[in-house]
Amino acid sequence: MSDFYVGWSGASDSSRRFTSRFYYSFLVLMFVILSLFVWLERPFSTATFAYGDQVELEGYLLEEPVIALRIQDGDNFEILPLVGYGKMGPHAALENLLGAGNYHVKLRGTLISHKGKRFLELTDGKAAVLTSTTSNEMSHDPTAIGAMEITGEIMDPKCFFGVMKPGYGKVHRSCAIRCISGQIPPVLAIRENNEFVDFYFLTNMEGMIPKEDLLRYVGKEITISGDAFKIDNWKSVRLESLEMISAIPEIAICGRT
Amino acid sequence: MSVGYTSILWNAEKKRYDRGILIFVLVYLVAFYALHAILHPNATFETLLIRAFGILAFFFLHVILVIGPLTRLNAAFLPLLYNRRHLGVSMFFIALIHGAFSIQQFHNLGDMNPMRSIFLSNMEYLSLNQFPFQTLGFFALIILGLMAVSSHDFWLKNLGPMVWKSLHMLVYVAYALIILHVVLGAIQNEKSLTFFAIVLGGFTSVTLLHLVAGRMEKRVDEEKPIVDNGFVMVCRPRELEENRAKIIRWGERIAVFKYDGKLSAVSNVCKHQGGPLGEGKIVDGCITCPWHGYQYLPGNGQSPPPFNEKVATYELKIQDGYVWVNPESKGEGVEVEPLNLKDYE
Amino acid sequence: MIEVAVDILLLLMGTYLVLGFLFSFYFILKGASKMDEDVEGSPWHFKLIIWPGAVLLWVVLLRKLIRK
Repeated sequence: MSDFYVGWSGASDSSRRFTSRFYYSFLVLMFVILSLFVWLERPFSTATFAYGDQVELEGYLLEEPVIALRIQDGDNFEILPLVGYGKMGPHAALENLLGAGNYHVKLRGTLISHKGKRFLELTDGKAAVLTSTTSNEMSHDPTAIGAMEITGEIMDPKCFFGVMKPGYGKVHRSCAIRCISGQIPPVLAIRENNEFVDFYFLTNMEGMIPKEDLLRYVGKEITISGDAFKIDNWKSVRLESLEMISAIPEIAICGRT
Repeated sequence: MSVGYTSILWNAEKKRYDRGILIFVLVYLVAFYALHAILHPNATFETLLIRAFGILAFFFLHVILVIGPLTRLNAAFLPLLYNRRHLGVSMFFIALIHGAFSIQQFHNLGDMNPMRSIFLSNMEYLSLNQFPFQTLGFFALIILGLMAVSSHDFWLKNLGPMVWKSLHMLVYVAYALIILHVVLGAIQNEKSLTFFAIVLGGFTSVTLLHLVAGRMEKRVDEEKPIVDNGFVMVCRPRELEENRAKIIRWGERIAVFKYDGKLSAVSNVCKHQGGPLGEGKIVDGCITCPWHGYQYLPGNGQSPPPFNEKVATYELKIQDGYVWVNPESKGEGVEVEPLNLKDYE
Repeated sequence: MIEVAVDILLLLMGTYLVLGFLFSFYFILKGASKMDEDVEGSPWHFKLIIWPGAVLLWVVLLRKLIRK
């Protein structure tokens, strides 16, 4: 220990060499850990959120099974469920229109898209409603699929379909609970071979979003039963019963998207 | 050493140390984003930011925790200890970025105050694998914050060494909370067991190094010195190395120094952060603490003017060819005539 | 039950911080130099760096100042 180090008088060359070796070995260790992490990290989905790039869309405003915009492209109709800014539903932005009859609207918002489905975030709140005219036309016609029993996981669609990655799983659970609590409509996602392949909006018997009852099941594997409906490119289930299968879905450990 | 205060006391060594930290952080961040750009181009910026800073803070915490035992095992590691507090404060800011962005991302902009949301979104406090792990990180961040704000020497002096040391020992509580935060949180999202192995490896390294260093110190403490007439036997004078000390444990630890053919004994505990003076060296006629270079005159235990720290001094004698020390201290900063070895040759 | 406990906890933490914030002004302007004479004449950036500590550790500081 002949080489004594006093900080304010500077280190000797041999002491400096020793410290440098330590420093660089930690840098290398960090790099090894980082490479392992990035290599093994679960892949991120191809979902997109067109942040900062708003579009204007025109169509009928739906209120059931979820608040959505129904747009027409030739003979095809597409349902774009609407969500608000942050972890909130679109209710505040559409305050003057909801429950006040049928409306044909022009909305401005940010697109969220994944798995062939699109959502519209009404980023600017009330200013997102550019025009609205009353309309007597029936804006939608849901087809009954019949009673069914399905197993899947409840997630908040805003995050899953593009705003956050991963938008499900243990770390995201609190966020999903906040979103559903904030009236973003809950979705039951059905998994096949570690991929989410099918999605159902959940409503209660009156067609409303059953938020309070669902919060504690968010992110868990559950089996539900009820009458299913199809509206254009979306499906929904009127919830009759709900049973928890597993608190930790397998997807939380070995899932992809 | 305290004579007036300034915000951050920098010298060439500390600047070198801080440059090292900054370069490390920058290299890491560039590597993190570059590797993701190649392997995970679909990742979102916010997620990467939260992960990058979380992993870096976790890594730095491990480095900080191993520096202490490493210096006790090998004095060559002392330069790493010299400015550890800047590493600690940096780690806190890195952890704060991780925490603040996580709260913004997962809890803000909802129908509940984000602070309440940390505790009330996921309420499965009785479940292990569903436990709201965010709360653990939240409390760990508070502890790291308390340590960061009290890292200046002003706090060490004015909170008193006892309060200060207890506050900073909470780093082990924070470490335990963070380990759980990671194991019950981020790791649950991944499929590979390698993540778990990495965390386990870090935890094992920290624990083992502490155990080994602690065991070594215990061995020194367990050496039973010979006592005669109230004096404790140290060793033969020639066993002492010039400008170095031998540490004796009798109640308090006492450091007996040899220099210029003389012997003096002072308390082993530095007034600054309780560093082991007996592992230090006499530099320019002053006992110099190995931790941060605080200095004391061997004859009276006082820091040379203008500084005003004082450590306790002890009386020495030579009998039957051995050096003996009286473990009753003469008091802090009290002049004790050094033992002149020439008188005994 | 948990909600009440969390609200109380957050209220206590908030109150502690507000009181600490108020105390910190006194401490930076006067208390610090009363407690430690070396603070006299120290630059403003030193006071800035001990300021967060004064907010978070005000209980300990207040007790020391009263005893003095």
